[in-house]
Amino acid sequence: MISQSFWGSRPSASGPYLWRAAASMVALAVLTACSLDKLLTVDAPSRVLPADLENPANARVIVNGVVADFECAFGSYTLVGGTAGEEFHDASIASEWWVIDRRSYGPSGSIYATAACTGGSGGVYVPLSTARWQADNARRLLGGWSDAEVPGRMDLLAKAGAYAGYSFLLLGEAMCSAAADGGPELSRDQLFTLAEQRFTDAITAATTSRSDSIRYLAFAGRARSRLNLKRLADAAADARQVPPGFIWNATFTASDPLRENQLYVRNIRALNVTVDEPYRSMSFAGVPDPRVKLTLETKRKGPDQETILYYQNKYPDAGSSIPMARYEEAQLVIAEADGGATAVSIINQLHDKAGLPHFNSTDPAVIKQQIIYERRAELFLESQHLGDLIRYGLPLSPAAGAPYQRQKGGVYGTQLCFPLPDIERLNNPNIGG
Amino acid sequence: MRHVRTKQVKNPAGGAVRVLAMLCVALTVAAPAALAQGGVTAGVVVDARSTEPLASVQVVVVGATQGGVTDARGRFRIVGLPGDSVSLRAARMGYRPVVKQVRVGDTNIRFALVASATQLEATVILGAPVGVQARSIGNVVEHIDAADIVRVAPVTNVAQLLNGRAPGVVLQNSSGMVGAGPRIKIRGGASLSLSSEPLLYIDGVRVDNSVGTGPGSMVSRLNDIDPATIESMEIIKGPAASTLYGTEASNGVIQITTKRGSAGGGAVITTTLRQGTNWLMDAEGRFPTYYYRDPVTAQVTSGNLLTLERQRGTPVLRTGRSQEYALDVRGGGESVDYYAAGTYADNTGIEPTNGERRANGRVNLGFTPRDSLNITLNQGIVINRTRLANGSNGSSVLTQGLWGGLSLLNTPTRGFLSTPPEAVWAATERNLDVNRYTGSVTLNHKPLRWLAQRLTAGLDLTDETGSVLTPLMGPELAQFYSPFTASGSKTIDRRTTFYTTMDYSATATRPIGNALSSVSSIGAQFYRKAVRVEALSGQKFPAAGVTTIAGAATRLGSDDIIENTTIGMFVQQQIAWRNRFFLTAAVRGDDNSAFGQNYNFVTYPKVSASWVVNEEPFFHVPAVSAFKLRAAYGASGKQPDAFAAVRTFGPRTGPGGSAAVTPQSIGNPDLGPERGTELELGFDVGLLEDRVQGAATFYNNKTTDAILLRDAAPSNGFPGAQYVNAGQVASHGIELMLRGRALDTRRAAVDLSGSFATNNSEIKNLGDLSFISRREISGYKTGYPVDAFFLKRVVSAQLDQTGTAVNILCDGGPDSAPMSCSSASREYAGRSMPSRTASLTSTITLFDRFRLYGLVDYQGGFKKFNKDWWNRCPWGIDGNCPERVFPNQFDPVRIAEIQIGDIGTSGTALEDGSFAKLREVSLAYTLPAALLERTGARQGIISIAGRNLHTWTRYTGFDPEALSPDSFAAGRWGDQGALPQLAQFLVTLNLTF
Repeated sequence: MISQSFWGSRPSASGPYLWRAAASMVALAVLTACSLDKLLTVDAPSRVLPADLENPANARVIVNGVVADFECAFGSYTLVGGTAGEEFHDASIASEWWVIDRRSYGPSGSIYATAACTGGSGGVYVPLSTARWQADNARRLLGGWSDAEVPGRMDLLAKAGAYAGYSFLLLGEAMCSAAADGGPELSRDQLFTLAEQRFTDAITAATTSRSDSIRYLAFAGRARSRLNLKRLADAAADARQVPPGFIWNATFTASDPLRENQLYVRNIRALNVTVDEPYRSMSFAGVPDPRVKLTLETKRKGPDQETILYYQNKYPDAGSSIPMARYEEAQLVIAEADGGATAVSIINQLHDKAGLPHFNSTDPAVIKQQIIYERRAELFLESQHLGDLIRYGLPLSPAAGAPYQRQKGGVYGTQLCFPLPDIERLNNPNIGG
Repeated sequence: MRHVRTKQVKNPAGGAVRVLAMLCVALTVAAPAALAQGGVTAGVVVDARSTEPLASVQVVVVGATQGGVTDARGRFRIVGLPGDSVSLRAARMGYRPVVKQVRVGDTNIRFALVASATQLEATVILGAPVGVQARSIGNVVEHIDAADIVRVAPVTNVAQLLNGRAPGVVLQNSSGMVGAGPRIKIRGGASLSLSSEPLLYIDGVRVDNSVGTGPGSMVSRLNDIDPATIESMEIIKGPAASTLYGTEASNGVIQITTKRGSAGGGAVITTTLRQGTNWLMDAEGRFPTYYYRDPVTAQVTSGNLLTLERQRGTPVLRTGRSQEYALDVRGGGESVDYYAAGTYADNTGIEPTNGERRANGRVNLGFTPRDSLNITLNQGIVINRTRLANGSNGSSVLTQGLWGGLSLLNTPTRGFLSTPPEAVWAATERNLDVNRYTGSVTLNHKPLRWLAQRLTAGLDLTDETGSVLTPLMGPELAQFYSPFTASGSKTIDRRTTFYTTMDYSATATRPIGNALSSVSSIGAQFYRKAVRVEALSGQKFPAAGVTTIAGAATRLGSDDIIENTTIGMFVQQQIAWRNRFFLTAAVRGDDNSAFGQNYNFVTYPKVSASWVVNEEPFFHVPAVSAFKLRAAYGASGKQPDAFAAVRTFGPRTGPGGSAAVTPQSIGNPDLGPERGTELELGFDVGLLEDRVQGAATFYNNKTTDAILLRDAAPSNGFPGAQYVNAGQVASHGIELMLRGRALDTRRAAVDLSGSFATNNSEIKNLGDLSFISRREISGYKTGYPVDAFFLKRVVSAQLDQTGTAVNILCDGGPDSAPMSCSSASREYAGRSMPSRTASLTSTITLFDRFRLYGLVDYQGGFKKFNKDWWNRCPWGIDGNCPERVFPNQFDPVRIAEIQIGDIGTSGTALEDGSFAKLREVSLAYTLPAALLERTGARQGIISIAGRNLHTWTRYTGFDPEALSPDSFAAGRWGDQGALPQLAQFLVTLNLTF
């Protein structure tokens, strides 16, 4: 009878309390049970759920995202690749950038391996992978919708295909290897092949939708992919589809930190890089090359208080566009593929435009060296040079083993392509994770 | 506004315990007052150590029913006494009772109560509506008598109140800047990827416990609270004790109880005036001497930048000022009590751009309309205006000095890297304005003799506005900055945090026969945290004097809302046997909006036992006056971050200003809370008639389903990391405490208190990973402590004739021979968290008037990364250290690591971070009545005190406590220009009217 003595002996005056209390408890329990669901619901005004996003009405927003993510990745890779190559030299006090500059990066470096596209923090593998996934995801979604559901669907499909192609292309040029969708490790050639496939799809879709600009963009991209695959004739055939005057830009703006031109930001605004030595006095036949115009800073040095600052003049503000593909680049692809008189003619067309003396040679080796020079000058800070260093096997400057900057220690290394980051290797079950 | 269902509720029946309207039931119990006739006695009760009056002391006639309770001035009066003399017993929780034979009619009786060491009768609030006696609790709960400490110690904020006063509670200071605050870890903290901060409650309401806020990420909201308004603090340490607090409490709980009024006796007014100074102890001695070899002449020069600046007449650091003015009133009548307090504090730091002005106000009201009902209203406001100097990034004065060099002496920077101090100060203005309101209403209702219930509703609203202004620079200033920076900019970051608490609980206490009694409790809680953030920025001002964002050429803005909701309930049953043996079992269930859609309602069990052995008939141990054994096992949790479970896209600007989206968070629908379980064993002992108290505790804590912020493969498209329940962390340690009166004579008394604690953590499992790197030098690895250092270690090298290290080999790991450093893996190099902490407090009382108080605290058994040294030696512009100038005089291994210059091979910068600090010392003098008569004051105390006056350490950097803000986020655990803790000298006058 313990329970009776425990609960049963209440003062008689308290009876009404208990009954009223019990009634209140029951009523509140019912009310609360009904409202628990609501109580656990929270607002998320800055987040979009996949279920809300992935419908035909948002097709254009999705493809805008493809372009935006690629442009951010492109600007960031052009900066990091330019620093790893020999276009930029680091002037900062941030040690994570020094390893990029002295070509001694390992698979866990923050700048190329793990940084996302947040503006100013670098980023190669993550931004390009995000852009690649965005583009392929858009292709998948657009492929599942009808023309009736999405006005201009083929045009959007062509654009997504072209940007998917460029994402794979830059992954191939930048990385020693990469992966897609958590799949197996892909070699550079496999990446270029995937780029080629995306460009081919884009060309087909752009032809259907009569989107000439996107078709030229895809041809230029496929030519660059095939150049990397050493299929020179195929590359030249694509390059010939690119008409004079064609240019396709990655666009930037000063009004959004995520869409700023990072080359301007890190060089002119933050003073954290200077134009590197090989580009400081480019000339042909004694005539300074106007395609690489620089300004010497005389009032101050870089934040490391040692590096002399040279500003590039190509991108004078945070909203300056960076060419992704253009006629001159396509012409240089033809020059490289055809060589000989065709190459000399193309070089001299470029010289005429730049106001440089004509080049003349019949020696294939000399012509090739001149093509390499033309690519350096013409495509300065356009995401091409690191790929050229690897593709041509050019001698490194400064040479491997040369001491790095006095105060920063270390020596120049031999690393050019970026190793597959640990973040991918350790977390991708199809590789090593 | 969109609503995101982040959780599918599985158990709606859980709401059945929400019985919030219980207290609306009409109550009509009234207790008639009894009147009596006869003789009178009256007097005062004081604390024997401080001689301060003691309120709420029960003074009763032994063997009779007459008695009363002392008022706020410690006074009592008993009427209706028969005969010529009576025996009076004065007793209060936490004090040894005193029995005294007094003459009836004597109205000047004085009781001096000595604090009881064992405090088994002290009341502790642990989530249930009624306090429980300490004797019945199966786990240790640290009690900090804030009111007593503030009277003697130089304590100006809550962090100082906590520091060194509870074993197992470690404060990690970041910067010594005025306004900066520490992070707190209790028993080491077992979270890997989530915050390790304990929950914070004020008067039963959950409040903002954010750390690392404001410009520079170094401010703690804990320090908003005025320590002078705190009556006591209770620290509930681990899952075994914090089960009733649920799914966010595995890091422990800090409960703050503010002061209340006291019934009867009229108003007691206390004023406090405090003046003092802040300075950096031995600044020049701690700043490194620089070495420089001229590349042309090969001549070596050396010098100290701070000394050179002082000799030049431009000392870098100054002496700051500290002042505080406080007034409080407390009192009350039969059914109303009140406490009101106001404090204004103004502190300036050692840089001209650092200072803090804080105003606190508090009004606590208590109403007792019936014996069965008590209502308390607690309201606190804080207005804080903090000006923060440039923090520990590369732009601070300290880093500019540490990264500079003698080769720059004759440049405009005078040896600083790129900016001299006056330019640093002129270039940016960093403000943090805080307006905060914390309010609660608590209804304590006892409808029946055996039934009590409590309802607490409250909110904590914190409005923080941080701003950083760089004005348009004139030529003199602009020469040190890039044109972009010199064009001026401003950012405003506003964060409004709104905590809502609804807490109901009920307890039924009934005897079961003669030997047993039962205490049954139920409770339900609702907590919501909503954070609204707004960020504005502007760049490029058109003209000098324009400093608004609206006046800038480019302007950006963003905003967001982050919400988290918890609903939980508990049931607890305690059975007591003869008030000596207590067995308690409880279970708590929670649901949280951050749980994944596939995750169910979580439950946490608890069981504990307490046995007061010394009251057993068989216990006859001389000198042992109290002895309690305790054991507890329990679980609690830690919920994921808001939205961590949901896959989301984020809006962004597309080409041409179009609308676009980007992958934002990969999400994890299976995500649930971390689960901490803990076994705690210990005992409390009182010796020599409770003059000495000791406590010993062993704990073994295991965190399962530890939430890891695991990197996600970028090829899946979503940048960043994914929260997963994969880890397992084990930690154990002991906590010892001993305090008592070493000397007790009429003229002198010496009270000593010491504590010692250990904590050893080990990562048992990282899911399918064996190592998670955190930046370049620290990480998580199975088999090693949390937040340990992992570095490549050079094991052999030679120096050639030029002093260049050659033939360098690194540790190849346990199973490999030494190898090239480029191929070597990172090996364990030490732990970053103290494995041992200790404190020693001494109070010497002389002639009942002088009190000499001192506190030394110690942290040991950990490494610290001397980033300041690393920045200036391997990376410094001139080398700046003898190793770079005279390499042949040093160990080749050390020189090799310096010359490699890679932070991944920086073991030579890892140093023993152990230290002991003379944290507090004070001398208080109780003013004589003759002196007080002129002021009308009843009591007066004047004290002089010092803080951080000496450090014992082998750490060669500035200060073993200084940590740069990114230490916490990125695991650097180094100083990097963080300002050391400042020394303080304070004079305080305290008058009571």
